[in-house]
Amino acid sequence: MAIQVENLRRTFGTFQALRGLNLEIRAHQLVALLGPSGSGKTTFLRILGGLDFPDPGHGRILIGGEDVTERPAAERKTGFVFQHYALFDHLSVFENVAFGLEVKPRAVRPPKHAIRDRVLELLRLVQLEGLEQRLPSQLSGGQRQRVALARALAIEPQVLLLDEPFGALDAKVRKDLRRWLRAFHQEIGVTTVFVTHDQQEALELADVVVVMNQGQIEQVGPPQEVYDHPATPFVYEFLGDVNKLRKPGRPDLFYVRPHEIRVLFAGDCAAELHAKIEHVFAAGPSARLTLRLVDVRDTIDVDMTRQQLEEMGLSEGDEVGLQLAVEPSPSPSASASRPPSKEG
Amino acid sequence: MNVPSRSTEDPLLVRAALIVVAAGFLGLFLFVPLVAIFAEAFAKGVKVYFAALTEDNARSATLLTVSVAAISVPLNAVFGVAAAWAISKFHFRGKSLLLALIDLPFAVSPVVSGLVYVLLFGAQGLFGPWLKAHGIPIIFALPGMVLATIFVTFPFVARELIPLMQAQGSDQEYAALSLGATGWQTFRRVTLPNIKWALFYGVILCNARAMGEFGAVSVVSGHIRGETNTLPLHVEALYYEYNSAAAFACASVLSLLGLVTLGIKTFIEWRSGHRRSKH
Repeated sequence: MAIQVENLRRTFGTFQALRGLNLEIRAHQLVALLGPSGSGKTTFLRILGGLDFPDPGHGRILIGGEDVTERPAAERKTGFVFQHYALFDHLSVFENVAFGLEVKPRAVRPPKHAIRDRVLELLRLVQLEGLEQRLPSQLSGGQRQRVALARALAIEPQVLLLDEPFGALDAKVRKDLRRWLRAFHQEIGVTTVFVTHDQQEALELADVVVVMNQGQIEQVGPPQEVYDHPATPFVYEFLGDVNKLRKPGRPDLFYVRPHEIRVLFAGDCAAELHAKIEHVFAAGPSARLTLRLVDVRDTIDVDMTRQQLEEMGLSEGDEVGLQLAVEPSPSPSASASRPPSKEG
Repeated sequence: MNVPSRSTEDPLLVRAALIVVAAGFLGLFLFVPLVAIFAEAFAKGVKVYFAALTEDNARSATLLTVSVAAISVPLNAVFGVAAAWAISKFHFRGKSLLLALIDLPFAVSPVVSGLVYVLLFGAQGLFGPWLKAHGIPIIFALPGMVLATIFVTFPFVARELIPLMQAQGSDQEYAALSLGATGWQTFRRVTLPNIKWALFYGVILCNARAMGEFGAVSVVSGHIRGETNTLPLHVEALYYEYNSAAAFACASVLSLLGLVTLGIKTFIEWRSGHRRSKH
């Protein structure tokens, strides 16, 4: 179902956690709420799930066109998956997944065998068949997360909300589960919103990335658009590495990503800037050079292929020339409402 | 299991000395008195022992003790759960004040808490004349003793639950709510199973104290033989009459209660340790 959020505000004491959010999410999309800790993304997710509420009179939430702002979690039909799973420790995997069906009022509760069929089907869906009698404590982190997902899906939620779904997992499991969740979402098609502070995760997984900072939305867009055309300096710096630099004789600041700078020999007449190599890091598919600009004394990072590096025979202490591979985008203005710049 | 740490590799002499000191201290101050109670109780034979327990005043004292505990322990269990729930799951103003109030009975002498009830409800007290006019007995009667016992024993359950519930956080409750559970379903199916052993332990401790309470109950009871004497008060009365065999016989019942409480506590700790090692 589509989600509409209008002018949402939330204040804790004197701290403004959310400062008037507006957002539209189309049905069936996989949306990432991306931002540093303290940016308000988890608060926003909890309010979507009815686990917290906006300041009275400040904001509306519509799910599938229906105003659910005042509706408590139990009546909202949103599936919520917690960062630390929040599985019921004393119940088996089966009982955990069945919980949402068992607590329904008698009149609408499915019969026992129907609950059983549904739970087993869900466990098949999350690839945990045969584990239904285990206790949560007997499962790995990745398995627990999938139980939590199956449990949330049991109530046939209109919207699925995931709070840092991979936050507590180690890197390898994280990567596998990320790929799995992408395919899984394609299969079930439920509108899904997940919170993450990992830009890689957001860009790789989501249809739409919502970048948040200090209780506000900085930019909304598909991953590539957000990465290529950041609307604000914050987004530029938060998504991927970026160099802030000044051209000699000009006061304004430019943003250039490390792979958008070409390294030339020192005497090359195409060079726009001159720099000295401070450090070479070459343990990976590409090499990263840390350079100190000769004229403006700034330090910048530049990526190049290892082949290039070897062909040019560069090492620490060498002087090089730099050419900007793209016309650097001028510093985007701080206003989030400004459309993404296209001149790059 | 644990790799032996360095501290357990201290010289034999040090270890032996520490064990002897600890065991000697416990023996002298706990074990010897316990044995003495039973020795004194049976000093005049088994017949006298059971006669002392089944004599009318002893029976009425036992019944009264059980009644006071039967009323005050369930009330404090409910209060303890409610207070622990409020303190661990919600943020509100005056939370630290509530925490301090829960600890108050530990800080105040039981005699003082008994006296407060006398000042409030006694014949010369604040509400005394009104209560007398309406024929409601509180001081020197069961209600007063229940009130005093509730006051003295109310930290036990709450104190046992608060750290546990704070450590567990609220995510499981939130999960239950988002799955459509009502507040009561959430409490019964999620919260209660998570706290049941701590709650049981708190209730056991509360019960032991409720049955053994002396100071506060002594002030409000009036010491009427066969009517307002609980078991601890009965023991005192017998002792001052130089009827030490009967006094110790009744004391031995209270000691047994303590031993049983200790046994249950050990069982619960063993059980929760057992569960944890499975995790």
